[in-house]
Amino acid sequence: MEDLSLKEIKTFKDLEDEVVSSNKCCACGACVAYCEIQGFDTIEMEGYTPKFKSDKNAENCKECGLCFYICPQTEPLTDKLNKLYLIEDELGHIADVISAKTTNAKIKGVGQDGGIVSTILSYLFDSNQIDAAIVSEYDKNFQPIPTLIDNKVDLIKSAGTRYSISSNILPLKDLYAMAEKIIEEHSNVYDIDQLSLAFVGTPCQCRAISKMKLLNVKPAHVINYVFSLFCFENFDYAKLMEIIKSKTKIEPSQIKKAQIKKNMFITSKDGKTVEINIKDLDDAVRSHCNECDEFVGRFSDLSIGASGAPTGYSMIIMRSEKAQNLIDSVISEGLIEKYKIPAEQYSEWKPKKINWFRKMTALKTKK
Amino acid sequence: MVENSKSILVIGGGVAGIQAALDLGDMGINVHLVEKRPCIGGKMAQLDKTFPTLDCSICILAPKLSECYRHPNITLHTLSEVQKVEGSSGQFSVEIFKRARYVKEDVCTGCGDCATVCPVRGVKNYFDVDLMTQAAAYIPFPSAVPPAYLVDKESCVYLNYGICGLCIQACGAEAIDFTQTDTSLTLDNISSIIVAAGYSLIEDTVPLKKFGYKKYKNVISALEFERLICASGPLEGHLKRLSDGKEPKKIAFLQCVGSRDERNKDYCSSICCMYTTKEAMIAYEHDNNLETYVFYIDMRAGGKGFQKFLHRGEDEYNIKYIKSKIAQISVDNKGNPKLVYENYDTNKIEQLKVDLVVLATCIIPPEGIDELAISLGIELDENKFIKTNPFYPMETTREGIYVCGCVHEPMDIPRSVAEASSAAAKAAELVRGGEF
Repeated sequence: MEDLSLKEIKTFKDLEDEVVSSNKCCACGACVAYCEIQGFDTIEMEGYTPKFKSDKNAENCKECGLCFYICPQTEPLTDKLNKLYLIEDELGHIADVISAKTTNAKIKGVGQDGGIVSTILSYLFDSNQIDAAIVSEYDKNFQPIPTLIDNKVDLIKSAGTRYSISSNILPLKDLYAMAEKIIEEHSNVYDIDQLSLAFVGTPCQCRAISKMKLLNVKPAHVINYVFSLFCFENFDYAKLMEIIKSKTKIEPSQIKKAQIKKNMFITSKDGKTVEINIKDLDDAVRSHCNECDEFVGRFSDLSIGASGAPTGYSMIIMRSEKAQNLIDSVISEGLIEKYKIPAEQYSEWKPKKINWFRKMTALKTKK
Repeated sequence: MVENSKSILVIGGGVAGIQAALDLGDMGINVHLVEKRPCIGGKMAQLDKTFPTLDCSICILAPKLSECYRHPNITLHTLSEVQKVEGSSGQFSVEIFKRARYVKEDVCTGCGDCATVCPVRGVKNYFDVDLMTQAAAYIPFPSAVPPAYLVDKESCVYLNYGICGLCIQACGAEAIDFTQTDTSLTLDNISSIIVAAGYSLIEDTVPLKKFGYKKYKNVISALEFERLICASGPLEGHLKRLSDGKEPKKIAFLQCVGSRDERNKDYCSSICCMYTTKEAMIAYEHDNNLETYVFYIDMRAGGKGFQKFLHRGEDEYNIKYIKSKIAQISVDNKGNPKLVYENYDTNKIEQLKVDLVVLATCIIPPEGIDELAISLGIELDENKFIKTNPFYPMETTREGIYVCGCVHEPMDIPRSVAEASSAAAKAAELVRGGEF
């Protein structure tokens, strides 16, 4: 048998050298979430940077190597992951593609495009299929706050796109604390391992979650639904707000909605909408985005985004049987409405959309 | 121990195998007890209480487990299975396949620090019928014998990727040993073999979809019910529905699920009538407001005190026995099961809405029985239980190989123990008896 004890285990120091220092870190929060849930008291997230809490804390590092393995930007597990998710090309395994929008007026009011993610999460809460979800709320200055919510009422606060980094895996570090609360309130959950969670994140974050699920490591072992959001690029919050302020004169606290459709459109709370040329945002783009080749997010049950959809709708890519069943249920319950493809476009529609995704992915990769 | 003594092999570490091993060990005979699971105890260790005395199952079993472990004449081989049997009665040679535990059995103190620090979760544990999951380093239940943890080969990150090793760091006794490998061991000088391989349940092989099992959360199997009502189980004995956590007020027990059934097994599973009454009684002890309905074809209560047990159920524990055939099981939108049945006493089609349905499922031969029978060179009957002659009920079709317990045919604990002692006596003849 191979003497595994001699194998070099890469630790957080290697993560710092290979990922953080070389600007590859996407600030997903996976490394910190894992290390903290284990109670190792070694690393933390400072802004967008995972680092040792202190020189003393650095000595706590157990050198288990898990942080390096689950990091979405490292090589280990990528082959296995590609096999598991049936990845053959840049779009990943596609079971089906549809376009749809929510039928819920309240969600429509706060949703980004089709209001799909909020609607599906609402359904999962209602039908008792999830106990909690990881979403991104935002504070009064439009800064994303990744949050673990345990009810659908809180969903309204997390609707809409946040155009800056939201370390969505980070809240999982408090899973045990939240689990105790959930177990008390949802009496059908008798053990933390029986919890069912939905995760919403960008492709890189979904890749980290998928690596964690491949190894079945805490705290991601309770995630049963992974929703990947289409992502062309993401922004540094501070830099983005500076640019928005200077180009539109709208204060962060006055932003009602931000949308990118070729260019960026900022809608203020008093109803004003101002356009910013997408090129003007380049300085705020996070460096790791420039090396990313995932547009739709291949490591997920569902990939959702507006790109390619008619106005007011979202595109939904279903990758697993679980995803197809979920969408079927949500449609049959009348919670979302499928876009009616005009009869003459019917046979062309899906290949056209898939080609569009390929184009967008190529555009992103070229950057 | 007598010089040049031959040993006896007991296959299976459930209550039957344990009893046989103890009887033989006490006779001064060397015994090898082979068990495929990481620990001995079998199904009896998973039960809450036994009928008809309502004794705590593990409480009466645990002393036997310890005795087996400590006994100077008994060698315990867990995580082991019989691969090959050569030779003949009085002179068998047996090859055992032993899976690696990755933990030094005699060093592990059972502290559980490895399980606490292990990053992997979701490992299935047979003991709680998959109602609970574990870390990759785990022990099937706290009082398991041998009192040692083990590492699950498939999910361990160290064994698969060469990273982690947190358990090695955490173990104060330095008991984690990843240099262990699966091995083969040959036992010579085996004079006789006792097969006590126990049983499986029909839900392990046949999807009971028409009963709503694994489809509706409020339809569970009897073994799952045992774990849920047991104080050492996932709910710590506070019975709740798995769908919404509510305490059931009305429970329906359905008898003969998969047994006495032309489409599945046509034999009687023997113990279900008694254990269903037992389970209903235990549930009533937990909640005096409980109403229980037992849907049966015939109530089989042949043992000593058994018939009285059933009457007690009716008189003191609010159990209603309904002679019937179930036509349909469905659930409403809140997950409450609804039964439609033909009541044989009133000759009417009736309906009943309950909170929970428990299926008394059919006992079937254990997993791997075909391979075991081939290795041992013994015949199975038409239901794949071990074939015996009714006048020599402990003997298999091969001389020197004996059988006891549920692998022989479905039977309760007292009968399994009686058969075990009987098989031990027969097997001992070859060591102690006259010429052969």
